[in-house]
Amino acid sequence: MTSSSSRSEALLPGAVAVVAVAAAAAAVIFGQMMVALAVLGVALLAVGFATWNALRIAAGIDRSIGVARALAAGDFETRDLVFDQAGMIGRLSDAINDMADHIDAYVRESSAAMDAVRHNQYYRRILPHGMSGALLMASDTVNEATDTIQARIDAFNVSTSDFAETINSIVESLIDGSRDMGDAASRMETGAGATDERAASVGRTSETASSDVQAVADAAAALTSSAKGIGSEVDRSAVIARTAVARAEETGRIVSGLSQAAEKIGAVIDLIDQIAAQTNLLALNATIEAARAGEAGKGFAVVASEVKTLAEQTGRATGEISRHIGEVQAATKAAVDSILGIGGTIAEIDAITGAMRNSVEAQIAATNDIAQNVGNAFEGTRTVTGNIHGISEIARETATLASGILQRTRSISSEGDRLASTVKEFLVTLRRGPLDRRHGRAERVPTGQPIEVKCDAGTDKAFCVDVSLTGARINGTPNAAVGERIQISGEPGSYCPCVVKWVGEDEYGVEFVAAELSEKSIAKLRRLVGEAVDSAA
Amino acid sequence: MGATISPTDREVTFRPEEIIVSKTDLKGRITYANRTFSQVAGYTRDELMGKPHSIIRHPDMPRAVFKLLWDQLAEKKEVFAYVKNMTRTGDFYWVFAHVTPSYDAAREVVGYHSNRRVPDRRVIKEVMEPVYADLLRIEASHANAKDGMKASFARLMEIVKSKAASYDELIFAL
Repeated sequence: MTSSSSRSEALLPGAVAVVAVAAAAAAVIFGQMMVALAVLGVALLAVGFATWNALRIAAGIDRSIGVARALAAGDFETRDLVFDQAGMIGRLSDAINDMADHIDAYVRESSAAMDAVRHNQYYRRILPHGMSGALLMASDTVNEATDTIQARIDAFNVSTSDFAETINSIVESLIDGSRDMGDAASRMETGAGATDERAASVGRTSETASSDVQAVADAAAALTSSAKGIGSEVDRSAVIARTAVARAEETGRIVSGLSQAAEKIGAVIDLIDQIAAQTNLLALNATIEAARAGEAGKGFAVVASEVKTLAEQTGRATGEISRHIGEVQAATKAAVDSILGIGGTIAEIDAITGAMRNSVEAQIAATNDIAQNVGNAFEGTRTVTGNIHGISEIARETATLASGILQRTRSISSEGDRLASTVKEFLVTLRRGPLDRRHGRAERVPTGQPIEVKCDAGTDKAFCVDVSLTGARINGTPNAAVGERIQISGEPGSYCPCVVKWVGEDEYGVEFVAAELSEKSIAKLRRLVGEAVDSAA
Repeated sequence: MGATISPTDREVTFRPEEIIVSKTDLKGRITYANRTFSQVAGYTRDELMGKPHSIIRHPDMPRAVFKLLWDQLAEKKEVFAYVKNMTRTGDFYWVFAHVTPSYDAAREVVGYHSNRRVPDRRVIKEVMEPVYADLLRIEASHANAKDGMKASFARLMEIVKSKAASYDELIFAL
């Protein structure tokens, strides 16, 4: 329909002119000059209209060409601004503008959606309304790509937050553990101190005990020697007693001998008695004889009488001696009995002494035992004292170790904190890495600051040409190859670890190792680059 | 011109495959409008050219929404907004507007471009109408228009903050 109406729109003025010219010719043939003029006038009008229309169409086509060229050149601001033209040129104008509008819409939508992705925002989709055909398909593709990226980013975020959570919980339990360990160490330190104190007190006590035991040992030794003295005294009294027994036995024997001598004396006395009786009898006989001899015999009678008197005296004397001997014998017997009694007593004493001896020996053995035990005890207390000193030493060592552990646990805690913050920083860097890198390229600021460059080969002075959040350009040649690590410092004591990325004619580029930058360095970089707090963070 | 039009409760619609397109200069004066714009709003394009875009502004629209729109554009950001517009005859039509800065070859902003699409009915009924009514009430409750807008803008931000990370995110989540 459009093409037929366009055709009729294009052909109508010409057709009118041709018909009018033909009609004019017919009128001339039929001599109708007035009609011919009138129809020629119509033909002229038709030609005039056709010419105007052709110019209008040409102008419209020119404008459309202008819009199409602008579009081709990527200018989506240009439109055909002559609106509501009649006929096909009006339709061309609208069609061209409509095309520009739709391509413009697609370009704005897709670049906005991609820009959002660039800024790590994934909710922005191309709005499909008003799009059709290839534009709709392309929109769907971009949206699907964004979905995929979002899914990956979400998965990435889930795994990084899982990772962060895991690390955090590890660090927390590390810190908890080290705190517990620190607590334990500090208790151990206290305990060791207390042990040391107690050991010292036990040591003092055991030293006292030791000296007490020594005193007891001395006393026991004295007791032993006094017991030994008693023993020798007892021995000596036993010897004396045995000597006394021997003497008493000897005395008994002597006394018995005396008794026998007295008996022998008695026998002699009996003999003397018999002799005296004989003598008396002889004297009697002699007197008789003398009496018979009368005077002659008188002298003899005197001697006989004298002999008789002597015999009588002898008889008396012997009687007396016998009596004495009896007495002596009785006394001797009593003496022997008494000596025997003494012997018994002495034997008894000897037995007692023996018993005493035994008990003294038992006492000596007991005191020896005591002395030995006391010695052992002394040895024991000495060992205790020694051990206590050992314990003190161990306690002091334990205290030192505990304080070392305490220090280590503190450093573990701070290391844990550092690990946690490094991981956090790492994840932040990871999440916004592409953004920072792009910002870095866009916001590279010149500095001209003198810096120190530290690498394995040594430390150099250089100039920082410019710097961004992610790296720096440095004047000179590095003492390290591309890919190797160096450190740069803008102020003493604060080094930024970085990796050499490229080496040029008279300068080279480094990239900061983001995860290892100190807070101070990051702050300084941000200050330098003048970067506002990144919303992506 | 807009002041003389009294709004009606007749709604005008356009087809989902159609987009209403307009371009403005930096001051918001119309430099291009497509045929759909002209057809829906009831103005010829010659009438629209050079006119402020507010020619189609509906009195039911809170001013805070336009402040948000211009704030975003000033930061060279795209803006999405559900907008109730008014035709030449006072009828209304809802659009889902997407406004973006236009750049020249030197990457300077030379104007703004707006594509308006058929909005989601549900979002209009369930969210936009009540929220805009709320904002409008706040704006009307202040004698000073500036204070009214400040309060209503604060309310808008409050609503945004309670629902999503940003206005854009909220709009896309609806």
